Amino acid sequence: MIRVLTPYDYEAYGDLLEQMFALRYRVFYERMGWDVSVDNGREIDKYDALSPYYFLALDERERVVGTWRLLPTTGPYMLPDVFGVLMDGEPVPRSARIWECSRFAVDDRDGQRSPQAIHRITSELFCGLIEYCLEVGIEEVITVYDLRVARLLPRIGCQPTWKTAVKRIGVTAAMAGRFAINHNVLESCRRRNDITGSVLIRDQVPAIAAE
Amino acid sequence: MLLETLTIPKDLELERLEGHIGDTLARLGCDRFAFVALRPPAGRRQDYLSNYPREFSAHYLREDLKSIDPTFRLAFETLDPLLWKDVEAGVNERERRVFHDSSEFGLRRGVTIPIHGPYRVLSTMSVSSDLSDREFHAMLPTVMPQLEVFAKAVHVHLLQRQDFGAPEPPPQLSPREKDVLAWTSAGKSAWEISQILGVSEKTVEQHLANARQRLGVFKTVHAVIKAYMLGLIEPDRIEPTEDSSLLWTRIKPAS
Repeated sequence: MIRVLTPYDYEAYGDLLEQMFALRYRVFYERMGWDVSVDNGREIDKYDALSPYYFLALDERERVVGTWRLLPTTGPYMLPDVFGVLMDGEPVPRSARIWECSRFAVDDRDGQRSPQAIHRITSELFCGLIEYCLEVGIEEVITVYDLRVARLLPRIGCQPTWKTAVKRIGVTAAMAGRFAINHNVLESCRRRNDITGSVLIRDQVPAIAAE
Repeated sequence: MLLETLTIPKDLELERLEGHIGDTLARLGCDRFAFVALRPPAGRRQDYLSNYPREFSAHYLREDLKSIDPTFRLAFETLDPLLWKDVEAGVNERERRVFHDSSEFGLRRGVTIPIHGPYRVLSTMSVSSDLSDREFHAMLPTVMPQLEVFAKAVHVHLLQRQDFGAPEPPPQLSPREKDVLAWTSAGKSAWEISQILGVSEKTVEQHLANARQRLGVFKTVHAVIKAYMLGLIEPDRIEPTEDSSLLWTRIKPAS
């Protein structure tokens, strides 16, 4: 299941945030060898200071096993600032209804997790993202992704409506893609991955006692 | 739409507030802001908070650009956000200078949001962006609801603060100085007041002179108005002094 952390939830869910930064450290710094800023076993950069929304995949024991990060394209975001070369001079989107996802990661526990389990976490992260964006009025997401994620997309059932050419960036080959958010996309993504309903964890609001 | 982060922590120090507002607006595509309490509530003075380039703020104040700034002129007349591009199209020669000078300091495109409060209170929040013209004007409609909500939050927050727009401590007047101003406001001459208060006319004139000096004005009329606006005297509440019937008799013109 997916827990979405808005900036207002940071304080209440500080331990989940810490687990997420540690997971990103293991995935991006240790396993993939990306040139990321690390601090004491955590991977954390300046975009984490911009009050992003975090999507956290939790296992049955409430441990963080996967993550996404979401930022609006109206403020500073990674595509123009870090991966501008991908746009080839084209203007980047700037809209409160278009958000950028970054730092997609699933923890495979050094290969101990089964491919089925990894696929389940991955598809929940995608379905959760689409579901949440639909609810809050985000119409499109844009993301920079590498070939590893690009190979994953057809299996998940998510295809970009637009994408750039692939370019070599550091140790990886990456491209930018835009993905439409609508009910059809959610429906097909759920169907393909055998997800029948909401994957979002919603805090229970105490019911008002009837008179 | 996502509105969750458009609030201001109540206990933030004024020095950190500018950064907080700046950070929030940066996420909405706006790089600079200036909040101006244009017509503050009674008992407050005009004040502003901004992260405009320091040199521009100094220039703006020195050249008194506020008096010819068309966004302020228009803010009095509308609830709608004022897109600088539209405002500039309708300015006169004198006002054009504001846009010319702003763009020299990198403030080229933006929008001014008027915030009209109860009792004719008026503030404006101007934001400007470093994005290209096309990018900015395409983005703006998508962030306008957030900007308007946030402008109101800033307005409500700042006008509740004791360290923003707080007036200078008002000058203090002695009870006798208040008396002579109050009677002046009721239309009494120095001689008449001297009869009412049972002192010499010279003494009354001396009290009036002291009151003018303390209020920093040259004319007695001005002193009365200023004392009234500062709440130091209440002209319609002149307390009759003891034995007032006698006093009133004494100042009646002889028949």
